[in-house]
Amino acid sequence: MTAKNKKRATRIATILGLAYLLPNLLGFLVFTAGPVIFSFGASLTNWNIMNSPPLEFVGFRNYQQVGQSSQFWTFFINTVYFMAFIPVGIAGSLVVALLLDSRLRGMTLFRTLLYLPSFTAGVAIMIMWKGLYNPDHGLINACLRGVFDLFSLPFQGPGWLQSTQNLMGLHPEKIAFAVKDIGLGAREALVFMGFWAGLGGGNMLLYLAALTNMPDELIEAASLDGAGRWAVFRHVKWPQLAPTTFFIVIMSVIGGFQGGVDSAQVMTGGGPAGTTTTLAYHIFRKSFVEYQFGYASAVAWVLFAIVFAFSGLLWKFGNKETNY
Amino acid sequence: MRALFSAILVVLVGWTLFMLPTSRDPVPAGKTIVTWATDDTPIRREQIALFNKLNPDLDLRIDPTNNDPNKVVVQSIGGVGPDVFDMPGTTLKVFVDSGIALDLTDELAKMGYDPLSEIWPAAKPLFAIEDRTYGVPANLDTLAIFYDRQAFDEMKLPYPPVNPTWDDIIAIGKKLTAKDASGRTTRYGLLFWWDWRDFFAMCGARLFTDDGRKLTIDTPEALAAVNLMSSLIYVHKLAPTASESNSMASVGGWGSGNESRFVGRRAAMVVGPRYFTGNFRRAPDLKVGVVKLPLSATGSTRLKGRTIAVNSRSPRRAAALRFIKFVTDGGYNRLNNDLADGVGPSLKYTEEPKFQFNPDFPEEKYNPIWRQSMLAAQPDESSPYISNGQVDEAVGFQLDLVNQGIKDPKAALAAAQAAGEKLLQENLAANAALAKRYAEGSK
Repeated sequence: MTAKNKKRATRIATILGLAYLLPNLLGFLVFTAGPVIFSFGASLTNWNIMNSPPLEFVGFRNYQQVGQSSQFWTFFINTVYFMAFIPVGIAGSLVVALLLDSRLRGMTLFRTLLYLPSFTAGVAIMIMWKGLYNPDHGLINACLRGVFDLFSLPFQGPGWLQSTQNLMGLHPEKIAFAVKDIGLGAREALVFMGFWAGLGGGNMLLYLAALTNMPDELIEAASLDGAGRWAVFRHVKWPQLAPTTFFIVIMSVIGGFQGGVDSAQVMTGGGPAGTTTTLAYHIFRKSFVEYQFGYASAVAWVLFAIVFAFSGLLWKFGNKETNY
Repeated sequence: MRALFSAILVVLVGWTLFMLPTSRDPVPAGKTIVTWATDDTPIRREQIALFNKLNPDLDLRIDPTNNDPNKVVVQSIGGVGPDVFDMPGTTLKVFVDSGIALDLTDELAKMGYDPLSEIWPAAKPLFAIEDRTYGVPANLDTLAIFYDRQAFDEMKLPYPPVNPTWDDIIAIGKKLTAKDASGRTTRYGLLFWWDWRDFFAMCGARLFTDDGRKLTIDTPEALAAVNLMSSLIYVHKLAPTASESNSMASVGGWGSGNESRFVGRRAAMVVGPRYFTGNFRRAPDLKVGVVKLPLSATGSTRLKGRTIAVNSRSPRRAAALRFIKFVTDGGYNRLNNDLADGVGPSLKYTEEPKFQFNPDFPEEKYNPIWRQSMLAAQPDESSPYISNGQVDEAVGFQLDLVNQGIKDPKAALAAAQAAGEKLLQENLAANAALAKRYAEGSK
């Protein structure tokens, strides 16, 4: 092939490559990049889809209002509260993955059963949990009552989805703590449901894939050197899982900041008294219920900044512990 | 490999071009499709069938997945909205301010229809702003108490009086509440929606001053309303708690919730609108009676309804206007009244003998009660300075705390009043024109 033909072939290959990329690129520009840029522009206006008040440029006033809004900080705390349980969820997924990595008969069945909530419709799961959480006739309180009765103890069951109580004693009306607010309420109800649904989900699959791909020689060598199960896990498997853990943590943090819309919409309406309203649900309500698109865009950009900052910190400090 | 990918690309493009014509809704020859964003119920299908029969060149179709107001607004602004749509409750201003609801004043005049004299008088805020008309109610409704005659007969109790007091209802409801051996309630005395606005109206509590400039949600009447609502559940234990209701509920909508529980004999009485009747008719063993809702001296029942508006951006405006004309006609009104989808928009058709007593449903001897209740009903109040959603947010937040017993109703209403006033002031701060109007004191 002459140099000229080679150059021509390269050019054709480049054009073809770009042509293949074009549909995706166009989709990205139209449906992702465009709206992202547009939303930043919107956040600098008083845009209300009802034309009331008339559209005008307000600079960073929306951002200032976000910072001064007690609602925003309450919902930020709600979001962080839900995210505080992410490590527990990740640990649960890891334990399940370790159990499912065993070579036992019928393991495929166990894997399928544990993955079942992940391919069941989310709304169906939420409606089922609403029934389970009924304080008077739900299965959960019925079981708890049974346990208390066994020991002849008086039973006052949690109010679950109707209660503002929480494990940290956060007050529903202001950013404060109180002993009387300690208990199991709507926040915990959603956390437990999320834990149950996520236990055998994507994180477990990622861990299972990492465990399956782990070289057997490493574990065999450690065993030959006299390492017990815990030592093998602590010094061989856990370091090998570090890249997977890092990925899961990053994705869970991003997902945690963006989550809470489905469960709030289906199960609680963001209540009681706003205790299950997350930042993402706050954005949804501000835009599609109150039509304050300018303000909602500002909240979305503040949320983006928070997610970006957290991800950056995790990347900077967490990345050192991985094998990348 | 390149050849393989190129071949796949060619196949995909070819297949797309081949399938493209099939992706469009088939339009019957010589017909124009008119889209109505509304809920999908058996009643709606009968209304549509009648319209399509009377207008053979049109094909009215519903879009039940997009009848939420925010979807209608967003889609209409995006240019892909429905031709006609429902405006629930007092959302009229939302659609008018956004320029989506077409001004129908002149068109209705051309049709010879005077909405102010034809439509139920109290419904004006649902379809008109000052002297301009933006829609015609699809139906209107209000609340009364349905009772299960069989439950009363089994207990050998007399039916409730037509104009009961709350003391009457509580006494009867207690007798009719049944529990099983484990203490679980198998039949509630009374079901009602946990909706503070219903009880505010019944107890004569106002939300705003006459000029709409101040909230009035901490008055003695409001306190009486909240006390009544919670006492029916927590003191008299006639009705399920919010959590019990919540866990029994599916996702709501026609034919679900309290009406299906009543059909399932989970309650002896239920507070509900006339449209519940449609569901009750599908349970042939159920024998129902109706009495009025107890009201305080200044109280009223709430007027509920959906108003049909024409999308100002619809390319099929003429066809949409023919649908509006259909809704104003006797055929639609009588069908609506017969199907018990509330009552039709025009008052005069409820004066006809067939509404007073419909021989097709001989058990239903209570339609005059619905007519009287409708005449006494009042629409929800609104203020230009604060949205209903914001008022709901302020009051709902506090009632959640009352519901848990961690705040007393008086303190909760005072807090709701303060929160509502704060939101109102924020609205004024964000909107100079609104602030000017507020300062001038005009509503």
